[in-house]
Amino acid sequence: MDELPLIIDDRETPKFWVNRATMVEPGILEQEREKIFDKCWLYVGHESELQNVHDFRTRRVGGRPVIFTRSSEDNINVLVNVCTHRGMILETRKEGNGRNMRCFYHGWSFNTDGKLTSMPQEDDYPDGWKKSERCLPRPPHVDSYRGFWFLCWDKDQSESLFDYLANATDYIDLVADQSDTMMQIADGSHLYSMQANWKLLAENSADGYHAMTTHNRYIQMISASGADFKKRTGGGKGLGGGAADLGNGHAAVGASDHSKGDRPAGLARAFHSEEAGKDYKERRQHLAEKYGEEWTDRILGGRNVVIFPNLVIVDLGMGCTVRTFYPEEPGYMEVTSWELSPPEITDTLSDARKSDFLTFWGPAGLATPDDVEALSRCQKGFASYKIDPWNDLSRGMDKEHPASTDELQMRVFWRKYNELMTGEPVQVESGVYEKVDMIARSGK
Amino acid sequence: MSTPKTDDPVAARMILRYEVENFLYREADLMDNWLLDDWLALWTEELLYLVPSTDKPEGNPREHLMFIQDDRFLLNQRVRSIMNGTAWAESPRSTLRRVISNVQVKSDDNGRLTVTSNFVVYRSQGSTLQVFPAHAEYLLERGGEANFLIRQKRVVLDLEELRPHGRVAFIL
Repeated sequence: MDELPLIIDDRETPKFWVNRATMVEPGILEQEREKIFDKCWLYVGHESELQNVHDFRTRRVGGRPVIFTRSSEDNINVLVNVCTHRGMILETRKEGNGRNMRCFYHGWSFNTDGKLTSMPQEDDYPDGWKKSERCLPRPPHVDSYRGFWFLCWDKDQSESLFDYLANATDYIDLVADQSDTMMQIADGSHLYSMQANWKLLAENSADGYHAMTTHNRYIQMISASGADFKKRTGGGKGLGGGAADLGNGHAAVGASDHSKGDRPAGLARAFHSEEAGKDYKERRQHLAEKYGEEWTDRILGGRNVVIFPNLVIVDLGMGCTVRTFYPEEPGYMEVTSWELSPPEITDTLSDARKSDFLTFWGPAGLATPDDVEALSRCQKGFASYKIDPWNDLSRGMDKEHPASTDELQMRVFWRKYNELMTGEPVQVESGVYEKVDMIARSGK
Repeated sequence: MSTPKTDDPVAARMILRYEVENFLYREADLMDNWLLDDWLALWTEELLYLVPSTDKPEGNPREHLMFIQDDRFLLNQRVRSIMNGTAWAESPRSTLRRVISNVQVKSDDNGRLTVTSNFVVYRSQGSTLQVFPAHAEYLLERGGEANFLIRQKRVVLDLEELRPHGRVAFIL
């Protein structure tokens, strides 16, 4: 690449610029694989996707094929989905249930703990050759936080998942606390893509500034449904609320809902029935009894969380998406998105929630296709990066408390990115989030 | 257009399929030519427009994550946003052409028909050509200017992932 820095982080003016070369140059993507995806904790899946013993899901995490499975001892395992014999992909189904996974090439079989259990003509192996040495490999580090499972491919990673997540754990709590048992991933996923650099989706996923323009048609729909969008989102101040630096490159925007209303704040379509409004109020009451008013207002307020590098949790009251995305090329990413819900809500609320989810986050809904279009048009625009190399993310840089329509959340991402890519340490700006202790959460 | 009468059951089935095909061709013309207000008029007041996720082609809205589960209100909004130019993903509009085949009338319950078809949509925008293979199941009723009205339409994309397409913002 050229001699220009990846970012210009000027605290005097102030201004924050990002080099568009990071979006287009193949050499940068190679470095990202080595310095980011091979080093950071990466999201694998949610525990609720594995309801039964021997359930499995296969997916790629950080470019490598893995099996996410629940063993006969009820352990969650993450195994490398490659036969130890000759390196063939072992399990080819996307999901299923089975005690054993058998490689069709020569018939080696492995169980959901990754143990090599049998192969044809086992007697022909030499004495001293041990099946136990040919178990499925595992990522060097696997751990979970409140149902969210992660792996790290770096054997030298010394930071635990909990420490890595830093203050993002509060924001995961705000989601996980919504269920008395465990939040549940819906059956099915949105497997789509964007002709754009992966980092554009990290930016876009917590970008309050684009909502009123890019998603104008979704907002028109909300208003047409009879929901008072402006009243419930802070009037002309965008989506309301503020941005927070959660540490380690993680950031969020969010707001509390103090309305004590009978429907979700933010981007929900008006309910079809009074019953749904009644169910919602009862649910609110239940949460308030459990957690107190303040934490409940936050739970029901909503948040867009970006966990570095590529896990996004967007929970806007009317639904919650868990999304991850990987670069295949500098200008092409694959996106996988799931819906997360409290399983105990009534069918009436669940139906409304699913519908709002699709209509906002679905790749055939009334919002996400326009993000896909916007990001791909940015990528096309980056063809001119040698003429003007700079994207501008300076909004709110002079504020003590940047808003969700500012760009602190993107700057937090890019500073961590720059640190990992160049070794220059992050200089914290503002909006640093402090964890809420458990006593304050209970409202007592 | 008047429908010829016949006592021959085979001829009656042929005539019915001919009528249904005419209706589906009319619908396709309206969708390809972005005459979506006219297209909306092909539906009954109460309606359901379903597109399941690519990984759950048998999916239903209660149990699975779908791509689309529009009622009358959402379908109106979908069309309105495409027509008023705020659906950026189709602004400017792409060039569409669909080819319909394998039309079958699966059942006829006193004029309430279950109809299936296969189709392919070619979508061209700039230098990009996308192909969307799909099949559809309709619940049709007699009525309207085009002989039938759509009560329910379920479109299943014959794609295992929405990749590299990325999104659907035109009408399937």
